[in-house]
Amino acid sequence: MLSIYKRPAYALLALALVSIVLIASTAWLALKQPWLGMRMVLEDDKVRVVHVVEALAQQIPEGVEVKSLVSATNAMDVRPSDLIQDTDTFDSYAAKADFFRRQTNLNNLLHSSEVRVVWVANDSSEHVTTIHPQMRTLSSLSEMFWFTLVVIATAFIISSLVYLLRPQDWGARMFALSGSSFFIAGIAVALLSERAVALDGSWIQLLEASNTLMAYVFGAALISLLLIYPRPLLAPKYFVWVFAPYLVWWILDQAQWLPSPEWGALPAVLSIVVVMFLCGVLQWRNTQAQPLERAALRWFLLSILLSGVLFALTNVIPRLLGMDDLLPVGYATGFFLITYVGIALGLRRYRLFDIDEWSYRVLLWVFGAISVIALDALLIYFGLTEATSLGVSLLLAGWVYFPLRQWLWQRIVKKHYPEFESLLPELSAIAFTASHSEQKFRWESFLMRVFDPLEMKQGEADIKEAGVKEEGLALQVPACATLPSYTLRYAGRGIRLFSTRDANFAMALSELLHQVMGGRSSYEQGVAQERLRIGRDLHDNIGARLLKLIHHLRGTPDAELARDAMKDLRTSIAAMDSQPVPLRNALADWRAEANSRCEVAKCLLSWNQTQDVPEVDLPPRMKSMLESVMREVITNALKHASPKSIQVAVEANETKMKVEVENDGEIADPLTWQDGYGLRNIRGRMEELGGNLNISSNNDKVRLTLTVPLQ
Amino acid sequence: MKVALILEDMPESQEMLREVAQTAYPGVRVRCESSVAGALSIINQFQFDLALIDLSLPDGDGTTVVEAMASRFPASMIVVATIFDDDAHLFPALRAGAQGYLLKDQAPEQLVSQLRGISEGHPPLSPAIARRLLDHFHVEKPLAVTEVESEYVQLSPREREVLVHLARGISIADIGVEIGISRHTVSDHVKNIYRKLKITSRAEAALQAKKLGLL
Repeated sequence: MLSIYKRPAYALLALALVSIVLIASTAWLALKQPWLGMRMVLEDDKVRVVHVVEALAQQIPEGVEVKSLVSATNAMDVRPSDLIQDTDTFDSYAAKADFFRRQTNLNNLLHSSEVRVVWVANDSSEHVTTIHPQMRTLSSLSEMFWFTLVVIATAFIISSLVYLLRPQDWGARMFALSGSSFFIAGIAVALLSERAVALDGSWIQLLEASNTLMAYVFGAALISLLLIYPRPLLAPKYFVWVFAPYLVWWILDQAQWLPSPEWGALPAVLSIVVVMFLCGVLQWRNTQAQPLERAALRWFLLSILLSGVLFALTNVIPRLLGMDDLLPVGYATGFFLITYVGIALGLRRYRLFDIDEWSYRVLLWVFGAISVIALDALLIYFGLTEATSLGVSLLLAGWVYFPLRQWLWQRIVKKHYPEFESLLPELSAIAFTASHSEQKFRWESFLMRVFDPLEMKQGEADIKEAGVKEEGLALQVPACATLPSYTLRYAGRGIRLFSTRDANFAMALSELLHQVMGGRSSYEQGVAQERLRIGRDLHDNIGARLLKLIHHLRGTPDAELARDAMKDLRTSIAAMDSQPVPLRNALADWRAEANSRCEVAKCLLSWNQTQDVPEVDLPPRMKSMLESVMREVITNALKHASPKSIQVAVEANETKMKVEVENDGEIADPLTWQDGYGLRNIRGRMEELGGNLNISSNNDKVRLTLTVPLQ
Repeated sequence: MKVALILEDMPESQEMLREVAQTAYPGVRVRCESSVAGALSIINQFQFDLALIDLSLPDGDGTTVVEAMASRFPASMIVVATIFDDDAHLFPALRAGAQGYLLKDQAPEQLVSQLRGISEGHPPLSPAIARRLLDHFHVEKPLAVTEVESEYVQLSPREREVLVHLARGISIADIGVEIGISRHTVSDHVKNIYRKLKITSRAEAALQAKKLGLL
């Protein structure tokens, strides 16, 4: 049992089954009554005949007025009050008792083998027709009867489903209680309204009492619901004080201690509406700062109030004003369906009772399955009644119907298991996804696709084993490398339980992913090693040759060129490290190099930089390019001007950096400068970095300004 | 300085380093080796009080020789002579006991003054190595083995301050100006930082040996 109700789709099917059994029993009770083959209704305060069966149509025309019923032992007038459905409209308990007595007598009369109906034709002539009461046929039950039953069963199923999914939630409990009481009250109303003139007095009293009681429970449950949802206004242990007054009122009514039956139901129903309205106002004020809860409340109140207001308009207010109901009470119950359907729709949008949209998918699945079965039934029904030739039927069925049915069935019901072969490329794609969040997202959607659960929750990172939990309700997927573990709930959209096969499969998938990811990291390791090897080669070969060159050029001006080349080589090898360098560190490196070079050249370096260097990382290549530009700029100054001092000013923010290098010494007008290797190199690199170089001079100083975007 | 060891495989560099050593310390006797194996065996035979050691050698890593020198002649001056001053290359050698480094591509005159600087207590310290040192002392200071040693192993606030300035690329002279102490005091701090680095390395080694059951 436990496992059945945990599978939402089966729970829903079970609820549908319960509803069908209850509806069938109600219909059976209605059919068990003796029947005259006609329906009597109130029209202009007279009892008139409608819906006469074909066999009697010749004897009693529709629309005539019924005067009395006569049996071998008894004769009774038929009064308009005998047809009343709501017994709380009597102005005294005596009148009510009289009604029950007359119902008993009429019922006894109908049970005789022969009943004579005395009726008055439109020309006032009196006629007598003899009828043998029979069992009712199914088709004689009115549309209103079926309508009521379908409405209440739907409400019952929707509210019970919400409860089965969240049995601990008081909001769901109250919602389910309202749906169940609505179901019982509705059955009583349907039986009362469907009676052929009369039922046994004690039977009708029972129906009436249970209808009233259940209506009170329904109202009190809705009040309690509004007291707990969306914001808790009252602790559930006090809910008994919501129900108690109505129970007391009902007992007083049943014990006939109220002044009259009119004091019973109407004031109670009215008070329910008023209290619910007040609760709604309180909830509204309490959800002021919670937009999500406010939205849920808005939807919720709309559903409840709309049905409540419509019912009051058609059935409560007219009675208070002493008028007839605007709509038969059976049809008016349809308004309450708005509440239940509204809440079911609200589930999707506002996660009422915190049930996610997947309960919607369960509903869809069940209704899909039912619609296919209904289509079958329809085809059989028409196939039997319509005079279609067998050949045509077969052709239609074979070419159109069966493929269509198969398609529908597969679309709605059948589960698609993904092919294992198709999963492999996807797994490796997940393993090679660069960003962690993207990788996580892809792994999650992969699990969703494979197991099709209704719910997925992230778990601890140290869970290394797959396993079936909560009696098959949940599956634990182990953590895998940097990916966390997951708990999946409700396998295959809630139509099956997880098995150990699922657990093994999950384990295999995550191990496979682990291996592929391991392959990726060893690939990355390989890349890093290769980079290291190239770096070492550069170091050992090029570095050694450059060093040899430096030794050979010792004492010549070109030695400096070779030394700069060596520095550039160092920078390039450092850039192969491939780690981004914080701007702060890059500036420190440049400053230190400039420091030591100026020290050797006996030149004063003053370095000023922005107090707060922004937290920007330079890509390795950018760092090495800027480094070589800075080197070149200092070389330029030291080589051509033999300056006494160099001033460096660095300004940087998140988006760009400006470096000004100013030196004194033997200054030539920049316009006369010939672009040597150095200057060309600087320009080229600045261009590649999307920055620019500006050279200016005044009498005794020359200034190079470098501007580079940092993003 | 009486006897110097030069470990260098390239003849031109060997010659240049010999010249530098002899210019810096007139009268010094120089022994040149061009392989790790040769250097290790010569250390066992003779005493040296100065060593200029290249790190990348045909038969291995010069760091091994730095280590051997430091343990056999603790009072000697060990200097790395390299063409790469990045922390990845140098830091292991500094931890092994080198007291400074020279970049072989610099002009010999410069090398002479730098070598003298190291022996007078002005070892060079690039920003990258300063950052590495900051990390090292920040992360690894609890590794100190004994109470007495831990005092030496932790940087003093002044030393830390100097290190932070060095990590920003500020020169020793400028640091002196900025924190209001003499250039020499700054150099002393740098020397101490080097010394403490060696102590933590030794402490770690001892701890490691203890773990392995060697001590």
